[in-house]
Amino acid sequence: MTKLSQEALLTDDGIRSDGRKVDEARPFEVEVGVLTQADGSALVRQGKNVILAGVIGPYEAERHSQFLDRGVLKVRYHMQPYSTNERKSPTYSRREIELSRAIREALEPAVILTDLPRTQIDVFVEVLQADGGTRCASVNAASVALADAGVPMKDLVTAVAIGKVRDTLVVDINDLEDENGQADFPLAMMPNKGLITLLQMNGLLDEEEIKRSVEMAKRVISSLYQVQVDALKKKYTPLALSKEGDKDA
Amino acid sequence: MSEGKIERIREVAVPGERLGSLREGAAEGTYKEDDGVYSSLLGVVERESERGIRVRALRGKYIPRVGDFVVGKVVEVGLMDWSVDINSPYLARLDSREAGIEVDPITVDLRHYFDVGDYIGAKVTTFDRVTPPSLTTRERGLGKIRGGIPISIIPSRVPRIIGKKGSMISMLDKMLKTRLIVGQNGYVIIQGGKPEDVTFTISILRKIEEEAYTYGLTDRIKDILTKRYGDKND
Amino acid sequence: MAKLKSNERVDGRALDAYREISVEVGIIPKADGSARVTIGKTQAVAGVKVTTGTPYADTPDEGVLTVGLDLAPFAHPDFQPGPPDERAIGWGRVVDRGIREGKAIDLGSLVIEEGKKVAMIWLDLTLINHEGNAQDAASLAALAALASTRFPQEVAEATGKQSLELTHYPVSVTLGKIGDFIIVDPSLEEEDYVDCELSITSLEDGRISSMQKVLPGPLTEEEILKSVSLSKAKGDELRDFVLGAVKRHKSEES
Repeated sequence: MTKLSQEALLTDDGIRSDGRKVDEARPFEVEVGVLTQADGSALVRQGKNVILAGVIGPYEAERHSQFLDRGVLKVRYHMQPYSTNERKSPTYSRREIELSRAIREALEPAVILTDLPRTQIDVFVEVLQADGGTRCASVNAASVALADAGVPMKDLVTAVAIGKVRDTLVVDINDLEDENGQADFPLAMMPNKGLITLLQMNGLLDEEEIKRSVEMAKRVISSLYQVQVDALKKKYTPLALSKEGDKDA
Repeated sequence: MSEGKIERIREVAVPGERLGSLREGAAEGTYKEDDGVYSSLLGVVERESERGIRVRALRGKYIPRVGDFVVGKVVEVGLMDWSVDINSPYLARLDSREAGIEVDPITVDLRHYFDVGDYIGAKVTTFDRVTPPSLTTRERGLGKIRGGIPISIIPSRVPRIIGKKGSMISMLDKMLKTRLIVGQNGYVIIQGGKPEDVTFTISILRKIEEEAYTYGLTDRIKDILTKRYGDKND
Repeated sequence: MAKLKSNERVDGRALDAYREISVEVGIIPKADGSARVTIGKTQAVAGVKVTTGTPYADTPDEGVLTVGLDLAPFAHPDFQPGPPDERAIGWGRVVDRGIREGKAIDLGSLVIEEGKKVAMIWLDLTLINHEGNAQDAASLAALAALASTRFPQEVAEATGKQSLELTHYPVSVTLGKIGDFIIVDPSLEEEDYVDCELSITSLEDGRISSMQKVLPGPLTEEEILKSVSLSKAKGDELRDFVLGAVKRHKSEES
C-alpha cells in the first residue's frame, strides 16, 4: 500500500483530510455509567473512535499479586475484530500488550493507590471502532470509568495525539494522519496538575516542534477535560421535575 | 403541594478539583496539596463539619469504619472463623470467639452457627487497611438474620435512607409493610410483607438511592407512601 | 416461584414477555455491517467484515462464513479476558448454526473463482453487558448486521453484488424452565433459578434451523413442543422488529 502524499493530507489552505483545521480537535463525546455489571464505565467517541472502558474493583487481590502498602492497577486494551479497516484477528497481539502498558502508566500516577492497599483494580478497554489515537481515547475513557467507580484519584487523565503532516503540526490525528504522517506524538496529562503521564513519539520532530506540540496538546486537553467533567457531573444529577416551588427540606 | 419540586443537587466534585484552602481542613474523600484541599472522588461535597471539607463518593464500595453496623454474607467457613462479604474491597473476618463461641474447633463445625450464604448483622471492630476488617456479633441485635430478601444499595447513599436523626428510616419503618435491616455497608434485608409489598419497598429504596443528593426527598417519599398505604400519622 | 404461580415474574413481566428491546443498525460505520442490540440491560454488538480469500478445500464452490463471539471482561464479573470460554463458544455456535443450517446466506453465490477465490463473511459478536439472555441479544445483533451488510469495493467488483442478500432470517428465542413454568427471555436473576434453558432458532417460513438445550434439567415432550410453538410466535415479532430497523437504516443511508 503506497503511502499518501503529504499534500493529500493538508491542502494549501490548511485543510486536513477530514475537513479540519490544523488546531481543530475531533468531535468528542463522553457517556458515563453505560454498563451495569462493571463498577464504573464510560463510552468515548473521539472522532470515529468508539471506545468502551469498564472498571472492576477495587477488590482484594490474590495473595501473590497484592502489595501490603498499595493497590495494583491492571489495564487490558483490546480491539474487536470489526474495529479496524482490515479485520483484526481476535487473538491478543503484542501491540495490544504494549498499549495496555502505556495506558496503565498514563493512569497510575493519578490513582491514589496507597489508599487501597492489598487490592486490585481492573480496567478493561474495548475498542469497537478505531480511527487513530486510540490509546489517547482509551485513556480518556478509562480515567472517567475509574472516577465513576469511586476510585480515589488525584486528577482525571486526559490525552490527545499531536501529529505532523506536510511539515505542519496538527492536533488529534486521525487514522490517515497516523499512518501517513511524519510524526505521531500522543500525550496524556493530569489537567489540573499540569503533569504529563504519557509521552511517546514516533517520527521526526525538532525541539521547537516538541515545545509547540506540548502547547497545542495542553489547549486541546483543556477542552477535552471539560467534556469529561461535564459528563461525570451530569450523570448523577437527576432531571428537574418541574420548576414550581422549592420543597427545600 | 407535592407537585412543585425542584431537583437541585448539592455540590458535586470530580477528582482533582480544588475545593478550598488548607485552613478549611481536609476530611474524607479529599487530599492536600501545598495550595489547598482537593477532591479525590467523584462525589458530593460537604462543608458542614468542623472536621473539614468532605467528599462523599457518588458510587463505590464500602470502606469499613470501626463501629459501623453492617449486614454481611458468609462466603467461607473456616476452622476458627468465617469470611464475610461486606460489600467492600476487603473481605471481613468474624472470629468464632467474636460470635460468642468458646469451643474446641476440632469438635465443633462452625457451619452449624453460620453457613455459607447466611446473612448476619455485625459490627466492625477493627480495620486499618493492612489487616482485614474484623467483625463481632456479640452485642444484642447482632447475629444471624433469618429470612428476608437481600438487596444492595450504594453504600454512600445509606445515610439518606437513615436520614437526619433517623427521620427517613423511622418514617419507612412506620409506613412500609415490611421490616428493614439496613447495614451501613449498603446491604439491606427486607423482611415480611406480601410479594407486592416487597416489590414496593424495593422501589422506594431504589428511589431514595437515586435521589439521595436532592433536596426535598423526605417529603416526596412521604407523599408516595401516603398515597400507597394511607396516612399512618393518626 | 410464588410469583410465577400468579403468572408474574420478579420484574412484573408476563411469562411470555421480552424485556424492552432496542436495535441500532450501523453503529460501527467502518465495518461492512454492524448493529447493537439491547434486551433489557443486556447489550451485544455485531460487526461484519467481508473480504476475499480462498475457499475450504472440501467446499471449493462456496464462500466462507466465520462466526465468533467474545465476552467483554466488563460484561460480567465472572468473565475472564482471554480466548472464548465454553459459554462464548456455545452462544456463538448457536448463532452460527442458525444461519448456516438455515441457509440464510447462499454461500454458493459468493464464489468469485471456483476453488480459488471466494467472498469471506466474518461475523464477530461482542457481549458488552450481561443481564441475562445473551443468546438472543447476539442472535438479533447478528441478523441486523448481516441484513445491512454492504460489500466493500473490492468484493463488490469481484462478485458483482453491492450488498449481502439474505435468503432467510434466523432469530433465536431463548426460554427457561422453572419448575413447571416456561418463561421467555430469562433475566440474569432468573437464569440462576432455571432448571434448564432452550434456545430455538426459527426462520420466517416457520422452519426451525437450530435448537440447543443447556443445563441438565429435563424437559417433557409437551414442554418442547410448547416451546417450539412459542418461539415461532415470538421469533416472528422479533424478526419484524429487527428487519424494520434495518429497512429504516437502509432508507436513511440512501
